[in-house]
Amino acid sequence: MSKIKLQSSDGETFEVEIEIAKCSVTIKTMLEDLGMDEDEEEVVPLPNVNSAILRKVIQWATYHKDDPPPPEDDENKEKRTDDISSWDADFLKVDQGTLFELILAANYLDIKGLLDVTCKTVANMIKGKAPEEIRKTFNIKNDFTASEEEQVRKENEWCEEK
Amino acid sequence: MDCDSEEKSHLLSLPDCLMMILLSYLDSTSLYQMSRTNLYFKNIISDLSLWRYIDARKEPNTTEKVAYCADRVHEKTCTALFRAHSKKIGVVQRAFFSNITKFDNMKILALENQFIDGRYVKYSHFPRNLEELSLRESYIKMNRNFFKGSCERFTKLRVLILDGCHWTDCGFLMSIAKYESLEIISLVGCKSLDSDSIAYFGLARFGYQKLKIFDCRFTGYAQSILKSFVNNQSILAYYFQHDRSYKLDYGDYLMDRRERDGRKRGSDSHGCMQMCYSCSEVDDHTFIQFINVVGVSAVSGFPRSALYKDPYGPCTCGYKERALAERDVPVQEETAPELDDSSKCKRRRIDLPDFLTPSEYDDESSDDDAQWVPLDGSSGSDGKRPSGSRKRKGSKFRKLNHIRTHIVIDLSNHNNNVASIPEDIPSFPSLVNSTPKTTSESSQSSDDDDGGGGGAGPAKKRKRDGGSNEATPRRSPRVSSSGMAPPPRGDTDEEIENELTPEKSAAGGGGRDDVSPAPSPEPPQGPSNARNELPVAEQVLRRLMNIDRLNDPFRVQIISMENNQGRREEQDIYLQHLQMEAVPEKKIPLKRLSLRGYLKITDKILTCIKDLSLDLLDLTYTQCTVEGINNFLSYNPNCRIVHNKFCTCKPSLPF
Repeated sequence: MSKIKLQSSDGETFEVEIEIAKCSVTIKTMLEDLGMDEDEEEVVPLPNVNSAILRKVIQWATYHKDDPPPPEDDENKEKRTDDISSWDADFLKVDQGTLFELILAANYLDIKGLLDVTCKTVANMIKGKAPEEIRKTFNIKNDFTASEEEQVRKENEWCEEK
Repeated sequence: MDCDSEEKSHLLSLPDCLMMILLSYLDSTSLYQMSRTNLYFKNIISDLSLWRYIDARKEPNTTEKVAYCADRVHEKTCTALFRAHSKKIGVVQRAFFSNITKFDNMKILALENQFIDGRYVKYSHFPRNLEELSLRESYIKMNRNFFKGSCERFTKLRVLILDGCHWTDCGFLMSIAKYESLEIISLVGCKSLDSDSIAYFGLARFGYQKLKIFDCRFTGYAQSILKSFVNNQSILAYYFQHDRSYKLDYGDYLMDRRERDGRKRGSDSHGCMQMCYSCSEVDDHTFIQFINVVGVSAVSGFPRSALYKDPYGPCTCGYKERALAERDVPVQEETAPELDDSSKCKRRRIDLPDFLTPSEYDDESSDDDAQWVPLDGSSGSDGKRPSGSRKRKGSKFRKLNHIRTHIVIDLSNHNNNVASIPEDIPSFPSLVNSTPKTTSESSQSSDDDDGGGGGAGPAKKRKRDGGSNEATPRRSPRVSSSGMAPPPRGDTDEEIENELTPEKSAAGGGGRDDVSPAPSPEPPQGPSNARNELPVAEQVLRRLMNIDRLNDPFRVQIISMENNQGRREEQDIYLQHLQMEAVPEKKIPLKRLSLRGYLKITDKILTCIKDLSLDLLDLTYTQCTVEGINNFLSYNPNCRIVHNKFCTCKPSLPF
């Protein structure tokens, strides 16, 4: 199995099987466009991904290398978020910072499956929460004006009243 | 540095395009909550691309939230699902309806638990391309004519859900009967049954041409629907469940639920409930109609729906595994020799359930030489067929028929040539057939059963097969059994005494080639396809079926040669029933039936419906026994039986 070298933003190189690297549409396109020979010892620089994240991404891609391509999104359908596999759930038990960086990396490397599962994880952190809880969870500043805030507070009273 | 990394990994550090992808995973309620955290989210969430699929049914369903989400409905929205917290909180505003009228992309709309003022909101406000509509638990004030005339607008509506809509009445069912695409209707817990529901359903059955699922649990409509829709060619599933089982299944009284609702809007009443109890019962007799109905495999599968959740999902109680572990011998063992489909079919059509026989005729004396011969048989071996263990109540049959006339047709000397039966049996209209053979004799003597002067019996008025659209012919055994009882006995003068000579037959039969086939459109085929090779009895029957007078019960004894081996074979056939057999069998695709909680349902219905080839049958809280069900399973080995001794899965409630 031929391999490829990926270099993270902080200079670390990872040797990965080409088939696994091709999970990333970005890398796959690049290899195809450049027509790289498989024996060439080229190093692919990935300046947007640091080594910690790249290691995670490669770990994910290795586990999912045989997955069928994910289905196309349909904006007219509801997206499920409760179908995360247990392996993925464990894999994504990381701090928020890592999670968002994984989202960024998945987007940059164009790995749809990883983007999908990370977004679902974040969505599940949001679902079912009231605004104040969401703010707390994600450390979001409340920048509404006083009158806007007053309105929100009133609404909250409403729903607590039931 | 620390600050920098925190900055970098913050949710708000995601670029807008990624944020949009992330937000697209959120349901509408979460989007609403998110929009109230922060100005950035407030702005980005107002992007309409996030509002094509709107499911805002999760609590909190405050008026604010429902209004916020309802305002986001735009012309590209295909799905909009709303639920009010109560009839006062979270109700969509009137303006919403005038707004959505022109949204032709909207396919699915749910307005649950809402209060809709029928004076201002009409069906014509709903988008015309709707495919699914749910008004579950909503109340429409002034609903008298809410759906009247709506069939022209809702030509694409496939799914209509009105669970818990107590305001619906039978007249309303008429209005929706004409929806040309309707496939699923769910009326779970709709309680405003009129005593004349049968009248409405009688008419409504001409509609509902594409209906596939009829979910009427806790409505009391079961009896009316079963009677009216027995011949419906499209319905795949009926779900019925009696109110009394509600508590058993869901640990709450249905009444409580209703009362709770009723108090809020000051409607509903006990009187209505009482009435429902008395007239909503379904019993064995309802299923007599199904006796001549056989199942066909459905052309199309079960319809899909975003809003309608099928109450019987995949089995979760683990019955299959248990059964496999316990049962080493498959049930099929009992039904001895494998019969090919067609013959199975015929034989089964003959065995009527016991309850068709009035008990007063139940004298043992009649169990004489006469042998009841099912039609399937190649003439000989029927009596010995091991399947005799099944209910084949020949003797009871005869009693039922109250036979007055007995015809003997002896074919043994004529090479079993059925065509030799004379055409002009006196007092019968012409028998038709070609190729007159010279020899046949048919004598007739009076039956010991003596039969009252049944000429006046109600049976006579029945048409042979003309009424095939109606339930009448199939109900005939019951009619006759009860109707024939009163006439005084000993009035035997109606008996026909005939000597039929070969000469007569030869003369009468000459050159008649215009054979009219047996009335059944798809003649039951014997083991071989060639008509000449049909079992003798059947060939005879095919001829006799053309005789109108055979509407009266007759006993025909056929003497034939068995396989040309010289043994004389005698077969008795009771024409009252053969007449019934002549009714073309109805083919319906019904696959699922739930009778949960109907206490008057016993094993007898299983005999009636065993030809339906059901996939699922819920008999929980009925009187059906394990034996009866096992017998049923021997015909329908793949049917999933829901019963406390079988699959114990509970149907899911929509509310």
